[in-house]
Amino acid sequence: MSEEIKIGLETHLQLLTDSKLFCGCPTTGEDNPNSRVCPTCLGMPGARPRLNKRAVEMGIKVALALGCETPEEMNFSRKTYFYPDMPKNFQITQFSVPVGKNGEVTMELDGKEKTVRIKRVHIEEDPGKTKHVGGAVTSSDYVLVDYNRSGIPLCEIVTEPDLKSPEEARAFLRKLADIFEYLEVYDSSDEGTIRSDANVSTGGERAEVKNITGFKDTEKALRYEIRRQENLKKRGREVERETRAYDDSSGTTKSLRTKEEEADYGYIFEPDLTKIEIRSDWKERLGEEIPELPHEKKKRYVKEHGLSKEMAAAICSDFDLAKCFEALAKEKDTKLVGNILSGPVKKVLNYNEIRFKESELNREKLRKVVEMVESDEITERNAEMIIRDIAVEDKDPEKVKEEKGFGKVTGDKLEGTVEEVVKANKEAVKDYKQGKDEALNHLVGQIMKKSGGNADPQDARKLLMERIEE
Amino acid sequence: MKEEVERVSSLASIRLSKEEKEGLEEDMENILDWFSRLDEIETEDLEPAFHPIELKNEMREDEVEETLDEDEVFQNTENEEEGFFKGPSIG
Ligand SMILES: [Zn+2]
Repeated sequence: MSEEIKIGLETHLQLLTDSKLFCGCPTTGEDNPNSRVCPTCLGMPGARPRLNKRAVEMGIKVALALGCETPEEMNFSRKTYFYPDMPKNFQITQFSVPVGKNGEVTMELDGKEKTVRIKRVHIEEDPGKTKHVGGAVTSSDYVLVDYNRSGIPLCEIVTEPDLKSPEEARAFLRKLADIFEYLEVYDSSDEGTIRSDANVSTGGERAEVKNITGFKDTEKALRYEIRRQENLKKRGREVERETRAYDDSSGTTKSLRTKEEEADYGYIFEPDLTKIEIRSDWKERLGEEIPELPHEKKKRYVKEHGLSKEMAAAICSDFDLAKCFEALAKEKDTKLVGNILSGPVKKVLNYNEIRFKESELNREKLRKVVEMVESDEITERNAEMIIRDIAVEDKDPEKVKEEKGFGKVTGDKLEGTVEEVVKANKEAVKDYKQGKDEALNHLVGQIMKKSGGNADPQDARKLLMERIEE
Repeated sequence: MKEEVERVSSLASIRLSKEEKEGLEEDMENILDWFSRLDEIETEDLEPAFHPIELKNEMREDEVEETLDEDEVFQNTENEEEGFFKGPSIG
């Protein structure tokens, strides 16, 4: 890929409030179309917006957590455009004075640190959802509109064009979602609630790709768009400055005919809302509510708990997993807890593409697993098999252990197995005594096989050597 | 003014006939002319007015309120289909 790739993202995350941004309609609940609407979010004449304080506070917290400057006073603006998803023909957003400006996000990719500059953070309302009937976006006869999403509070994060590859863009979104999750202003279990528009240039003009949902699709859409631009250049053609839409079913981007410029939106101040003064005491209080963020937590885990950087990163990228780690690390061997949570637990979560809180795992169940390993009832390998089972189904780890016939072979039983193996493999024992070290591995292998994988290979090796040296 | 009318009508997704366009050209000319009188006022030393009265930080708590019933939602329209509003397709 070319050196000149520049990607900037405009990402929307849904703020986790109970009610909408400008009215009291619930943000979750009944899914029937137009079941969570009122005159305000339907844009009825005369209905006025009433600003949700919690959404504003969440926006301020996001701005502070991203190291942004916040204004002493901010306001909302009307962005005018005519489309059925916007019943009042304008969207209430922030334009000239957003809640945050000039911040940054530092993330890690392949062991290297990378800082992405944040241009602005603002709060705005989501439009409704349209369904095209009788054709595609451009050829349909008419649209059907559901305004349940109309007025849902969104936080938009705009980056400078600092991202250099689709992988970086994906890692950035992951990091952004982690920060939002730590702030408890966002529900990360629904990837659909992270939506981005991307500005992509590969040296020439930039194209804007709209309408990308989730992490994976961001990487896919950008890959496609970069390839498209590079193919154009190879054929000696110029990249045009234009707006394109990502189509997730085909994984491609298509040109949109509309070419609205910022000036066409005719921004004016929203006269139905007052100015919001961000007083210093309010800002301070919100600042105090910001918890330790992922990169701070990661550093502390390395320093305080002696975890490796990789283990700490694996645990910190899931807020609820980190909470579980901290609770268990207080009671149990920290290294062992770290091993299990960053290893088998993280693996099974990744495999199933779920977050810790969506899995059937919890602190109590994992405490039991850790205890079983600590008391030598099971091996760490057994623990992994048990976790695989209890992550997706609500099961008791001890029952699973019994079902699977796990039980670490130790003490007399292990000695008995060693004895059997030594007697049955006289040749190998002789080889070992004559200095052939690999013969020992063969013998340990036999012990593991006889114990059905339930012995600890280190223990087996130790016992075996003691037995042979007798 | 002709271009201006065309630009505004396309942004608003409103198709206009030739006669309508001509009428609107004249209207818009008059409206802009009327508003251009504002330019004559000396505003150099004035703070921009945001509101007629100085109100700040009017916000509500994040509390769920009553929503409309289905018949109320659609009482002002005939363009309903299976619980959705019907709208024009804009390509
Ligand atoms: Zn509403």
